[in-house]
Amino acid sequence: MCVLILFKDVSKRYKNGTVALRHVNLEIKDGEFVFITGNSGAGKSSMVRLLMCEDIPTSGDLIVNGSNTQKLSRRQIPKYRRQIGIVFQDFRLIPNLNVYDNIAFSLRVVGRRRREIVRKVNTAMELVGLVHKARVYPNQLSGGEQQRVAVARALVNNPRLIIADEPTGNVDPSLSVEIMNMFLQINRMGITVVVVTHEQHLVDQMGQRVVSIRDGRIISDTSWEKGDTDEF
Amino acid sequence: MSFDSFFFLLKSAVNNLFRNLLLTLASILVLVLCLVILGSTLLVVDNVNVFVEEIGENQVAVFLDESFTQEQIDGFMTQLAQIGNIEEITYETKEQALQNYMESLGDDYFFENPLEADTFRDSVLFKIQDLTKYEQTMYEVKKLDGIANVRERKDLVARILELRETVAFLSICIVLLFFFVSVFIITVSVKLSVFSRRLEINIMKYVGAADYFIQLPYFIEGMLIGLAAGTISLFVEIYLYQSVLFPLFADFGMFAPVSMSANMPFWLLFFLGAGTVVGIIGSVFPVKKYLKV
Repeated sequence: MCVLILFKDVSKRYKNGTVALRHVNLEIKDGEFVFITGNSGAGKSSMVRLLMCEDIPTSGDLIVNGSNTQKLSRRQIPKYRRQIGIVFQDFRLIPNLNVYDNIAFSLRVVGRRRREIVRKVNTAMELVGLVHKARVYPNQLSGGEQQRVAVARALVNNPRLIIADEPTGNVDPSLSVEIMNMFLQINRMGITVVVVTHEQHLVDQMGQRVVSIRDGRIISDTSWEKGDTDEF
Repeated sequence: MSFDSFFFLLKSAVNNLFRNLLLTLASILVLVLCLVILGSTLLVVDNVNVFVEEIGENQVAVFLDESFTQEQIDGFMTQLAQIGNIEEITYETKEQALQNYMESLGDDYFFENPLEADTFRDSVLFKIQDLTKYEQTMYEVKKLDGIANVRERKDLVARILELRETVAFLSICIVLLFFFVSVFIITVSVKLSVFSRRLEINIMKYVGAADYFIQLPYFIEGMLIGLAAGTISLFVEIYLYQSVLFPLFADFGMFAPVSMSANMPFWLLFFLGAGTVVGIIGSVFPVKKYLKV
């Protein structure tokens, strides 16, 4: 498996002086499922921001699918983002669009054709089990269902990588495992999945690689497949 | 861009307009007001220029030495033409001068005995092209040989110049003021539209929509507001001009007011063009802020 994400001695210091990441070295291979855990303020969100190219590292290099994010021009960023699907804690569904249109939205705004949109949206809805709710509006859905729509929206553009930022933060705890299983299912399709969460009990149940961060540093990287833990 | 994308952008823009319908209508109304004021200003300027041209016609008459032969007169006119800044040089005989004078009096003829041509003198009439160089040009004219007398309207020229400058200055101020007001109105309207769709813009950025794709619906929105305002303004202006301004200028009786219908292609282009340009300019800034994701 080739390396999809490479943090090479990445540090991030914000203008107000806060140091969010300190010399982070991390390698995520194509097709991997990785949890990034840590308490609030540990630096998880900063990692997501860097991965989404909302920000660039203060020092070090972040290479995603061969692209150094620091060297991407403003024009290249949209294309870069099209290979990443993102799922937010607050779903970020458009309230006046139904499920179908919410999912189709991410294809329409990148200029895809109607026929392609219909095909891909239907596939994505099938994948998350929401075909029967295609014409329903977000406020008529449960938290779990809304998150599934958000996942379908992230998936519909055939990304190589899915980043989920606290995906279970706003759903009923009983549905959290179901959501995580959905990400596992997506990962089995060959898509690299990075889930950022602070819910340790959930991470423990899933049996996947776990990268723990504290104060901007990686403190452990546990691979369940290998059964070993790298302590930092 | 595919037809599907274009249709999507257009639909988004129209949705934006209807989402904030009240604000859209208010923007159109204010913009109509601004465009009508702009249009009226241009029409007033146009009429002032026509007025100035008409009262300034044949403003200078040079009376030549009566002993001048035809050859000398021709030579004088050639020299006059060489000075520059002079146009429409004509030679008027005393007979023509009498005829013109009688025609100008019309029914108001009040002399007991008929006037004779000898009351008048042969003259060379001409107009000064650029009135700002009036003094300098007349200085050159007066240096020519054979001039018996010059009839010029120095005071009138000074007043015309003053009037022109004042009107030009005021019109520029009004145009600038209402241009900025119009842009501001569109900016506010689009800003609120952008604000109400900030979630969509945010998602668009995350899923990899190009900046131009995010901005285009707002450009189209601004443009549609501008076009609607431009179209309404054109009709309002036609009505206003024909029913208020035109009769007002016509009442002066000193010149034939400009006809709006004669210049309709210009006015159509002006109102639709100004509305569109203001719409586009006004929609550039509000989106920029939300593109920084």
